[in-house]
Amino acid sequence: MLRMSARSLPALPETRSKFTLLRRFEKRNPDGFTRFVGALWVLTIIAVCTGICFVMFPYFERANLIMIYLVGVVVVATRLGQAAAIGASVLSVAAFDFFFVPPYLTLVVEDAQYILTFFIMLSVAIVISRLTLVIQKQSEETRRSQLAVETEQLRNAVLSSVSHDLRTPLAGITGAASSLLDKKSPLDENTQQELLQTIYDEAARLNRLVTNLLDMTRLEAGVVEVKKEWQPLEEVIGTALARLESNPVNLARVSSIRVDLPEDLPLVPLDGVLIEQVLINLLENALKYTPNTSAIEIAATAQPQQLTVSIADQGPGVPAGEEERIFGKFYRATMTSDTVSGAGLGLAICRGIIQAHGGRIWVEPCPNRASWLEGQMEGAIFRFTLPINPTVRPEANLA
Amino acid sequence: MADAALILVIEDEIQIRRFLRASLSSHGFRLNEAGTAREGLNLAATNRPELVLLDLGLPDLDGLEVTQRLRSWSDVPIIVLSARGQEQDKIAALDAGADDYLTKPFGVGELLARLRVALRHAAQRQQAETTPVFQLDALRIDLNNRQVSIDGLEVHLTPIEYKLLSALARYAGKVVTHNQLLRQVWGLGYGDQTQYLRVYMGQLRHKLEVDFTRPHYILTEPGVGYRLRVVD
Repeated sequence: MLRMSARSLPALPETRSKFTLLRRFEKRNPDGFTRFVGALWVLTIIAVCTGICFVMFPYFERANLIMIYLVGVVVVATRLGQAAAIGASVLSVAAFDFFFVPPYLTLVVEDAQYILTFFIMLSVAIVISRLTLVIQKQSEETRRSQLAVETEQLRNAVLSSVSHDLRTPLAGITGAASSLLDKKSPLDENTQQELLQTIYDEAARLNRLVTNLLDMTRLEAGVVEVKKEWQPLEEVIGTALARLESNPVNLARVSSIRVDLPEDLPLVPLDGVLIEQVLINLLENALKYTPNTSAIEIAATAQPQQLTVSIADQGPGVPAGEEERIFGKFYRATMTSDTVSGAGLGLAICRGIIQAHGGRIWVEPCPNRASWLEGQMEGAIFRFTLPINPTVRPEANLA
Repeated sequence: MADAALILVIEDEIQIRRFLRASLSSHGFRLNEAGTAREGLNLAATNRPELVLLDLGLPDLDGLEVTQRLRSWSDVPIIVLSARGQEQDKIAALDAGADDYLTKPFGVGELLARLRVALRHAAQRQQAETTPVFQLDALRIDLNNRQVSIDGLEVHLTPIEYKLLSALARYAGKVVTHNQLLRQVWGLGYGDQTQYLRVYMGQLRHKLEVDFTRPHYILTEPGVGYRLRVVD
């Protein structure tokens, strides 16, 4: 569907040029554009009122016709603000006077009572638009204070989660180092080695956590610069796998990860360092949440406008109803036991990075293995897309 | 050769200096330490170290500047120490003539591997000798006869693929930046056309590697360049 409409676009050059003209206006002068649209609305509403009045004119008193205009003015006042409301009331009196007050089709007023009509109209416009403004302000304040409370609650939850996650490895390091430093009770070589290993492992864990926290902060602050370069996906997958394999704990399982890429996968514009991080986070999740024996597979397919990458595992899957929430910050799966460590930032970082690339990331149950017993599915497929703009694809035949 | 080589460490963090002192002296290196760039540049001029470990986050001068100043009068191998988030500084320093990099936190194994490669290249440069044959596992690159083979079977490469591979082989074990490869293979005007490089590197890997998603010979340095693996 999308492709078809995109193709039919060039057949309508006129509408497109009008749209681009409006778009350009909107871009250059957004305030002016809003006012322009508002004025169009006012004109439309008054025109509609006038139309209704024409239909009613033969059967109703003039005083009833003015009620129709009043409704129009009230609508404008509630939706478009004070200036528009005043404009609308002036316009309605003018239109009323022009079309329905003798002498017809002039702005001359025979009867001075219509001046009163005008002032009533004007004051209604002002009062209603003021009231609307006050109500808007009040509801905004309520919303803001609600938000403040929620932010405060979230901040506390985050602080306690982060400080727990930071303190645990620190406690391990401090404990192990102090035992090694203690000269009074010398340790045998095995224990020493074990404590040194603890220090090393916990420091690595701390490093991952701090890196994640910094990445998340930088993504949220919008200071992450996405340096897109056209490159083959296989290269990024290669560096991600190499980095995971550099951790001896992972080596055996990472080397069993299957990579299934079509031979003719096109180049995609992506930031290699950031997408590598996405792959690492997704693969680490798969390694962490699935049993040692289960298989993990990376695959990719290319469509004209995008590349879809998927990472499938045979783990417990994502609990039904949590598919969206798992991408939130500091989310930990409800069934997570204490043996699985992490601050719940990995997927939030993935989403941040993919969105910065203009793509989408989501999770699906494994199609063949879905078993919805106890609200769980067996296996999960994480998919993300990376847009390709085929018109700017570089040609690379420079042999 | 590596024994008793003098290493100059320019690093303002005392903890990192302590770690480097402990690990390098226990592996038989001599050490000079500087906490600032100026001090480091002075020590480099007076003591003529055989290798410089240069931190990119020094308080007085940035890494690029120090690299350029050192390079203006010396060929001493420079390995830059960078933290995550200093990618641009790292690439700038490499393009300005630094030989390699290490990203903090790094382990002693990685450090020693980089040091050895850099010292080996420096020694070869001094004797004006290049290894004419590169051999790693099944891969053999004969630079004199322009022949590449896997398990004794010749691999047919296009001229560009061969140029790429030989550029990596000349600096085997060292990182070669995108920019350096593009200039060497395509010429001066192509410094930012990384997609050419990517396409040919992909082809090269398809011809050389058993599994191109898990390259064994040509390693990718994300965002920086490529490195031909060497046995340490």
